[in-house]
Amino acid sequence: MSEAPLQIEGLRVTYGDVVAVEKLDLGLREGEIYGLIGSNGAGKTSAIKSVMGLLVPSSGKVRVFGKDPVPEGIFTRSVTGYVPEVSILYDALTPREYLEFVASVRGLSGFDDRLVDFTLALQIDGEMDRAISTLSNGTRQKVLVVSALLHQPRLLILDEPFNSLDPRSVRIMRDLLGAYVKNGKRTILFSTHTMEVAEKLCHRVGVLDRGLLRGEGTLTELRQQVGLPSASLEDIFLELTTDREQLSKIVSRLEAA
Amino acid sequence: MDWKQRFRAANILYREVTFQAIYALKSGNVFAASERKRGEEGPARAQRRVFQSKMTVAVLFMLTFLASSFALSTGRRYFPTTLSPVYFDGAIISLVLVVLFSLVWITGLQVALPFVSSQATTALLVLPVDEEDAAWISFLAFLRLFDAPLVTALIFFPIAVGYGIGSLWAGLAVVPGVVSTEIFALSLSLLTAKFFSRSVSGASGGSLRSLAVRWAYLILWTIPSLVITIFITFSYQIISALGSWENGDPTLLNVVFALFPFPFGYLSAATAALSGDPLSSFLVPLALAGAYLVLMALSARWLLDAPIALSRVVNVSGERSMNSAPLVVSRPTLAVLKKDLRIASRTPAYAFLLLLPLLDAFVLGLFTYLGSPAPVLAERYAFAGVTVAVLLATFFGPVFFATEIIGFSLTRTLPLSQRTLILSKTLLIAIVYLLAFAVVAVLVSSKVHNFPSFVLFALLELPAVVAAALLEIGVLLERAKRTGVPIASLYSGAWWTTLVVLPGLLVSAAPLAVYNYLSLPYLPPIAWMAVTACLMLIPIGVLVLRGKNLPI
Repeated sequence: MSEAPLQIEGLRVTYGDVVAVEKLDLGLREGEIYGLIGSNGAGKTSAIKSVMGLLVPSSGKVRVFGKDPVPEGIFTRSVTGYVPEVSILYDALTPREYLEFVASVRGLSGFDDRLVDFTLALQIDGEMDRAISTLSNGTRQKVLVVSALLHQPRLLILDEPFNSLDPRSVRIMRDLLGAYVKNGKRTILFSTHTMEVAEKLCHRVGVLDRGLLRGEGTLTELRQQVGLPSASLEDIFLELTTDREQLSKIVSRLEAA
Repeated sequence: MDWKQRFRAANILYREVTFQAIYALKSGNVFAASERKRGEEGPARAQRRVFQSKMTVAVLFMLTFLASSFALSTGRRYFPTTLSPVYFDGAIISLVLVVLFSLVWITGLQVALPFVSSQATTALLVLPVDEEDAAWISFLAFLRLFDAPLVTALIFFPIAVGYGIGSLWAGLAVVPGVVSTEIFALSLSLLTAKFFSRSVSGASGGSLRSLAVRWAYLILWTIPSLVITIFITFSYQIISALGSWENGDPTLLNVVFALFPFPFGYLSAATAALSGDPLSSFLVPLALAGAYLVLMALSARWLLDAPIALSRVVNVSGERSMNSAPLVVSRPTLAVLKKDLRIASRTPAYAFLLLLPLLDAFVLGLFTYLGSPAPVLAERYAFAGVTVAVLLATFFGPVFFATEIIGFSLTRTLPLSQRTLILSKTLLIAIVYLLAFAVVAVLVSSKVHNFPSFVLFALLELPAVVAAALLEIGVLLERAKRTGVPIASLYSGAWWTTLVVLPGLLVSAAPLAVYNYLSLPYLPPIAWMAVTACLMLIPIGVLVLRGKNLPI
């Protein structure tokens, strides 16, 4: 039996006295798109960085295809593609130069057609020879996505990938990601606070709030969990993470002001 | 907005720029859990680091002024020149002003690009601040980045001149010269920064031709350093030439003393000898100095608006191109090397550090070639050229790791091993050393008596250069992994970088010391040098390159 793409047990991440993630248990199945949703500061990025081996957790266990991503960093980075939350790139390179660097480090060959398809689909084919410092945030984000997809990783990890994208690009990305897992061999983990995208794209969703996983499952399972049979993901999220009474009071006060 | 408010706003901008210079590149990065806690005191730490760097530059200025004071008071004893005292003193003061001009220019240039890229001043554009206030606030924030060196020059150079010549008036008379030197240099630094921002940092195109054009532009960046090195190295020859012109062809001397900043140097020196010279001899230099002061006033007016204007420069260069050429894939070590060279080709500060050893090798080689010293002396100069190349290549080694910090958060997500990364950086340092040696070799080949032994000397030193590079890059990578402190530039982290560079310099200098100063038995000095170099390389290589598949 093949190892699960991702298995997290009792993950705890702290920054000094601040607890970013607490007792997180999570498992991804091959071929699924899993959305980690939560407000700003909910712990999504910390959890994702732990998966990539970029953060050493305070306690708990993370396994990517059965291996610990910290000591087995080279393996983890070979089988994953990662788009960070902040689109920091080598500003002094062009997208072509950056992708050439990524392809070389990954030892890729025979990917030219794929590259053309990605750049055409994301409409960055005309931006390939401009310095990255001169590109818009959205274009930088697209360059990062292409670099993460170039080697067709078995596990694609995207941290807030839709943040800087225009509606058209969001739609294209959504279709692209949907098609990416079609063959059932690849898996996507992505974090977002855009409920609409998560609702349309994800097979399963985890709701993270102040470091704790408040709920997890398919949309149907989550509806059952909160007892709202026709609720949208936004309603479910608010139900799981917000004191609705207090929120109503604040909204009333703001309306009266 | 009153001045107090302008200064307060400039201080906030200054804090932001220093913070970004030290910490901003870390955002999205992955660092130890303790980092966030330490990050709370980040702005204060950033300011401390920039303060340390400013003080380092200020101390460098003071040492220059101290040397000039010594030259003014006792120089004529060591410079057996026919140049008359007023011209001699004027020339010394002017040469120091030229060096000061170049130092401020290069410092300003180094500071100007990060100042723009921090985008701190853009916050002013969305606030209800009028144009004049915004210009003043940006200007004051920019000045604060190197206030200590500027004030040091303004106070200590007049004191050095006054003490050296033995005249209070001579010291006071040099003040306009210092002020105009600083203003011209700052203006030029912003003007050239604008050029580099458009033509280099934001230049499009990945072709070999565009790469070559960028490197050609980057040679311009080295001009101030070239001026400093040439003026210091050839000061004796310059004074001698001025002496022979005074007696043989005064027109040439007059032309030189009409150029900036020589009228200021002459006036300061002549003030001390006021009673001896006829008043008419002052009129021409006075008129020239007056003209330069008018230019300085215009330059100062331009300078006031320049920092905010520079922040508005938007780099949207390059046409949309449909270049569908396939990507060129290379081995990981070469890929990192290519990436670093490409980054350097659009980042003048890094390119400068790559070019500096070559530049100094060029000057020393030129000195050997033009100076036509006796063969033995020529050989010494040539060996000195290689020694300088060794020391500079290993001194600036850590900077090549700094290029990695820029995108470290991304690089760490790639399957790149520590060994590959360290080897590629070491390869770059070795290439810089070998190129510097080649420059010296070409220039001295006709002058050095035993050229093959000179070549052998340079090649046998290579293992020590490699060992030093491995040590420096290995320590820095370990440090960056453990603490996440970005070693972004020598300017922002001078103290810590010194702690890394010092062992590196000791390693690279050890074989040179064995060759030059020890008389060991059984083998010739050059063989002992080779043994020492290998003894440095083997343990360091084993230690740093252990573990084939350790992730970065």
